[in-house]
Amino acid sequence: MQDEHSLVREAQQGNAGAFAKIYETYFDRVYRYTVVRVGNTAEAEDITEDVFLRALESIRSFQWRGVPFSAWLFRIAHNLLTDRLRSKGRREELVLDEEMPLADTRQDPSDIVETKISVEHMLASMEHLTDAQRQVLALRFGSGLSIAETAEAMSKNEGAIKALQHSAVQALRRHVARAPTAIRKQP
Amino acid sequence: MTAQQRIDDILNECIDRLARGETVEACLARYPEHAPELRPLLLVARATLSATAQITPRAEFRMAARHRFLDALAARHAREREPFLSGPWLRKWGAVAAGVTLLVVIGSGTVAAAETSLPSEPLYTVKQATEAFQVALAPEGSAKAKVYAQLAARRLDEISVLARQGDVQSVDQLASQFEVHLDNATLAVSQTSPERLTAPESVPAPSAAPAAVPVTATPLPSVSPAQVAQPSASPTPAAAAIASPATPTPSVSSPQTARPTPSPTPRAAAVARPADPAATPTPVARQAPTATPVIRRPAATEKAPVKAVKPAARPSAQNLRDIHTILKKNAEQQIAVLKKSFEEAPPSARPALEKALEQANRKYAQVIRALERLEEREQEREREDRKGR
Repeated sequence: MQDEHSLVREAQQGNAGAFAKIYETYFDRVYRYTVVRVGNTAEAEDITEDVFLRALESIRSFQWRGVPFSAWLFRIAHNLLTDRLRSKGRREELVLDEEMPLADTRQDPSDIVETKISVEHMLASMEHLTDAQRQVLALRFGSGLSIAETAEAMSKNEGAIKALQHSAVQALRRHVARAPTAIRKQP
Repeated sequence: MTAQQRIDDILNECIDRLARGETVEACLARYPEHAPELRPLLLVARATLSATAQITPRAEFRMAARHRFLDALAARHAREREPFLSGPWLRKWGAVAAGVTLLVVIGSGTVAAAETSLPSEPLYTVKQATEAFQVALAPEGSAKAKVYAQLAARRLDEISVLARQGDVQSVDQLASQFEVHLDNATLAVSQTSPERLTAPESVPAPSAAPAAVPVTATPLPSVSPAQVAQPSASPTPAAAAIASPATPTPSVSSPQTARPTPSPTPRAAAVARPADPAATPTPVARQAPTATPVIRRPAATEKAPVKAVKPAARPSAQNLRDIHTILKKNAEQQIAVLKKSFEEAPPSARPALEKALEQANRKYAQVIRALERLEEREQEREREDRKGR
């Protein structure tokens, strides 16, 4: 199997097969990322297609220089998504959530042990997160990016991403816990 | 490092471990001093990982998006090579070069591995790209018809496998593609008269959706204005992303506009018109190229703006007989295989497979009849030619 570096280089040189492989490698990951970000599949489908068309258009401009290809691709996804949300007049909600001090989770009811969250509940709970929190969860949990790749994709340092991830998981937990059907006690 | 940074690090490490399949308890055992704080976070992290893993694209969307992407890929090739190529001959060699590049660079191993791939598998994209190049590189006429016949046979092979796996949706789509391939095979050998009209041959790289777009399929003289693709002022978002602003982009054809209408030309009507216009594969039509600024080929079965060009060499009666033989053999073998698959397919897949079987029977019969007529006509011409000499 070719490594990603050579695949990308060949795609940049106009090799259709190389780009087709890149497409297959990332298609599901980009789709999951967009679903987690926008919360619905119809919009996610449109955006996913656009991400690859945009990548195809601009792959020649991609330069490694320490930036992983995945980070570049997910930046495209983020930019398209942001443009789309902006054009639809959405605004970030609950911005304060990101700034809230981290709650002491030890005070949470100890008998709440989740075993399963449905996709719908997860997405509904994510609605309450800030855009940055949602983005970090989409990249880390949806697309499987490493912390380094996520940092590059979000143009932040790794420490900031880890902190953001911590606050995002805490916020998600709070909102998941509020939906009683989302959490089931272990038998 | 502050205490907060320390817990951020630990949580991050544990999330990575969970993603690799480690349990929450195993993670907690590594950091017992932080277990009370970590446990609820890791539980929600694990649940989120499980939930996101369930998010997968619809099969229909996956296939349609793949077709559109491959079309855009082909369009980019065309665009990049256009400045260096002008005139039909040079363009033709551009297609050859693109095909050779694809086959060489992908590597024969990958291409070979892709040969047996199925629509749900990653290598299927490579298979489609390879097929598109095979079509583009085949000489006009009987050679191209043979390639299309082979592709049609492949679609039925795939149907046999997928039906046994219960993949009903793919069976339907592949059956439609099968019909389009056979229509293209017929078109490839039927466009033989000197007054032949054809679409511009600026096809340096083929459409990557050969099922939907006969790369060399020749619009018939009976094209009505209504069938000619009208550039859309509002391209689809996908098309807009790659379409040159200066070049109007054909809109995605609707099933209605993509449907061929009966031709008043007897030859064309006898040969090239699908017997059942309603059977025109609408899902495939929707997957047609959405942006081909250089190729300027309209979507799916719509007819391109036409121009007269020198006709390709007319297939001989022997060529037609060869294709006839191939199709008859394929039909016999594959109908038998499909029938066998029917017995092995799960009950849920049987209606779709039955429909595909009926489509295969009907389409093979129709195409074979058309070839017989062509063959007879060609034999007659050859006899007259001999007499004339």
